[in-house]
Amino acid sequence: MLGKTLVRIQNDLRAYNHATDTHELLFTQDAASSSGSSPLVFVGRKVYRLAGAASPTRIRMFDMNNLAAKEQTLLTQGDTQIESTFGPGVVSVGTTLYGYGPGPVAGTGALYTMDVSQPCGLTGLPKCTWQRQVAPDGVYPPAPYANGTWKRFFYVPSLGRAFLIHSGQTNVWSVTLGPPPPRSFPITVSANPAGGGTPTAAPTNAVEGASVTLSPNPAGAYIFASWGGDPLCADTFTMPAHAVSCVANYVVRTATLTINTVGQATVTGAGVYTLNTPVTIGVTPDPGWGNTAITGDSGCGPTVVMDSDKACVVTVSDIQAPVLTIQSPTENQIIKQAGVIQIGFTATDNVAVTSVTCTINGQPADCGGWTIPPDAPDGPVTLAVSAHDAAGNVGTATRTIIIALCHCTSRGPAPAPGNRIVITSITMYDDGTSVGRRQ
Amino acid sequence: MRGFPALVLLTLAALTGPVRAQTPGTWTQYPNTRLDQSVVRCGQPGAPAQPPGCVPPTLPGGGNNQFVSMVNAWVDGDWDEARSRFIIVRGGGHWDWAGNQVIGFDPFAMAWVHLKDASMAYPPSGSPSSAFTPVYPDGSPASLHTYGCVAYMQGPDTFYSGGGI
Repeated sequence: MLGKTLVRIQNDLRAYNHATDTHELLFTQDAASSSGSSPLVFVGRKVYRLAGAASPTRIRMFDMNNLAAKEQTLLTQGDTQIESTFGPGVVSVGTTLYGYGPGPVAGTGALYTMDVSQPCGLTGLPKCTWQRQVAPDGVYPPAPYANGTWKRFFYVPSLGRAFLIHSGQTNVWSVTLGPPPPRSFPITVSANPAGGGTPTAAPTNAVEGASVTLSPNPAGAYIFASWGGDPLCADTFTMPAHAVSCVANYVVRTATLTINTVGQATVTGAGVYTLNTPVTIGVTPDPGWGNTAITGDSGCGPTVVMDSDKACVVTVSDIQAPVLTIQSPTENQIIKQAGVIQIGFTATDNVAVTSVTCTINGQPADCGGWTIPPDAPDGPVTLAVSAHDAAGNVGTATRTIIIALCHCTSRGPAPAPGNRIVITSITMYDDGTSVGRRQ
Repeated sequence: MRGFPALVLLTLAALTGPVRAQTPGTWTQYPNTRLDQSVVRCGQPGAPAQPPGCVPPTLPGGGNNQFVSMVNAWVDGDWDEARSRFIIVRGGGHWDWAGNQVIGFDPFAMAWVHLKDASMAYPPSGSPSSAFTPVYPDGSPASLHTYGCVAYMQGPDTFYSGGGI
């Protein structure tokens, strides 16, 4: 187990936790353990051990998936001589136990095997069977050392062999347990910078020729840029006959804020930002402009969270009306004669004047010239001139004009040719009321 | 007790050389692989004449003072998967050997390696029935009959060694 190791302490089976320097009790056996036990040997989630010289014809097993059952006794048969060995060396490969025990001749040792691929040894099941292996060439190692072997009989997977360190004064031996498996090599992946992501390799160990897939898995604000390290490193590559170390290079992920301005204003905020940065769009409308609105992509507003590229539109409206000045006629100008009155005015706007309209006493009139008919009633009239801009703003100026045409009425017969009419008096009226008389 | 931090020497020797494919069940003896004739022992060919870098043949006052007891005296070890070596930590103990050296066997190079010197601060062994104090005066762990209680922990890359005498 990574970070933990199983330990038998008297009757207890414990897991030592290196991180906490503590032993966690997994279970306590009811019966005292025998001495000279073999190492604990994993076959999948089941853990086997030979109980030592005092306990032949049986071995022990507990299931990591069923610790409540504690360690169980498995009855054995066959070449059980190995179980009389003190501190025997046992390893597992696949579902086979391989042990080092007494050989066929005194003073020799031998390889023992037990197939545990099928349940055995428990009540109602066939006994587990030991088989001492005959050396093909008749060569056997020394007999097990009296003081025990334990893990000095160890398996090296990449060589397909178990090695035996018999004692300090004998040579090292090995025994082939099967054809050497293809040697695998590790693939390690690191992140640059360290917080840029959690790159992974699948698989993390591979034999030569195997396909390896790298996944950069960038962290939130980063984006994967490239693979570095071994030149082979790529999204997928073929495993060489050596270890491979790859580096996932990341760059800070950015988002671009683009702002288009409609109208006249000073707008700030456009630029490139680290992902998820909140950005304030600053808007200062020019004089005569206002009613700011920010539209565009999702999230566009006074504050934009840059979770992706954004295109926002800042719209400021023309709120200033055109300025209109009537130059003629002048205020209270008296019009005494029918005819066309020219209307003179100037109209300006911060953007543009789009149209000008005129009214006389509220009725539409031609701004190009106002025709006063001869029978126009006397009295004041109101001239209004309005300038319009595209935003709908209207600037208006007015003039009061006095109509005072001469309405003479002849009271006698038309004079004969050569005669003349002598006006002896003129009476002036104001709205029908005589206001003066001239003789 | 906490184990020795595993040492940093990486061993990835080529598969060529003494290990060749054979019929399953075939035993092979490797000449010149005796510990007592290896570079672990001071004065052997390739080894320094004296520590550091080797284990002296004798440790006066350290029990029976048998060099090979670092393996023979009920001593276990474990396979260091990270470095492809079999490691024996502080093997010896009791009345047999006072050295708490760390040694290894490299099956790719087919050679013993000396990894850590034995402490010379061991206390004299009192009698055949007495064990060394658990911790030597210099703070290093005592030499021990480790029995079957040594384990390499892959996660922390550390050796566990508990129990024993």
